[in-house]
Amino acid sequence: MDNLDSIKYKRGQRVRILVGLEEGKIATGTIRILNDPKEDPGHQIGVELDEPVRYGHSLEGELPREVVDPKTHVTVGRGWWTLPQYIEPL
Amino acid sequence: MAATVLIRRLTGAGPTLTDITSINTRANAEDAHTTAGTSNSILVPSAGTNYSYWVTTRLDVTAITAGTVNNIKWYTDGANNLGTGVTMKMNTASSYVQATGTAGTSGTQLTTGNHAGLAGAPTDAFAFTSGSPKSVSGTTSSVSSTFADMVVYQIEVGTTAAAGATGSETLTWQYDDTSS
Repeated sequence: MDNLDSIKYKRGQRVRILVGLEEGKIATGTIRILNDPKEDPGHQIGVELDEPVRYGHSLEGELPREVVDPKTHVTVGRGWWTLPQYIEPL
Repeated sequence: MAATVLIRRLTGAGPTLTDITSINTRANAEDAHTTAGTSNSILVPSAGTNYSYWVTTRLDVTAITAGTVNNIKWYTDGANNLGTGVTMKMNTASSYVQATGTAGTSGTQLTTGNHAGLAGAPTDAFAFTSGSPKSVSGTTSSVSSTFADMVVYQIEVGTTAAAGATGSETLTWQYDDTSS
């Protein structure tokens, strides 16, 4: 990834996630974490989604802990890691 | 006609080659392919790290005419949404080593010491994206399941991981095909 791509985003910025969510879902949220892609390539931009999603999580403890759906045993949370090319500013 | 190229998962001592092209395969604490099995899930550790059994995959050319398959690449979507405390590491390997561990608890850690064919120490799989993929050695102009290196990956589960099924990740193979 190009480092310049992440520079255009800031913590607290509202964004729309276009790629990566389950079944092609598009969601909106707020950027909570910006990491150095060289140090943690899988955790570059942490977004707190407006609504919880299946397989969502806590952004490594930044948000309340994800819960497990007792019926499906799938985790549900509001955290989502993404890349600059998978989001757009609102 | 384009070559027919399958993605295989290798399991067992044989090994057994299972076609996993465009389907799900679980990285559980067992040396087996399932699309949704949960009977031997990885135990969330109370301290340290538990591991999936390492997963061995490779390409398999089952039909090719007058051409070559080469320039093989492997990559992820770049974002780790396996969940809190869960990571994935990978490297290529030139030979097969069956995955081992304690079924239902943890696999043996993927290291060059435990896997003699591994090209080097495994690294974060999410560093490899379509724009910066992992190169996989190999080329063939004939039907072959052993023309290229394997990709071996492993899920690592830390103490902060949640119970339950994690998210899925899409792992992509790419190659050039000059067959007619």
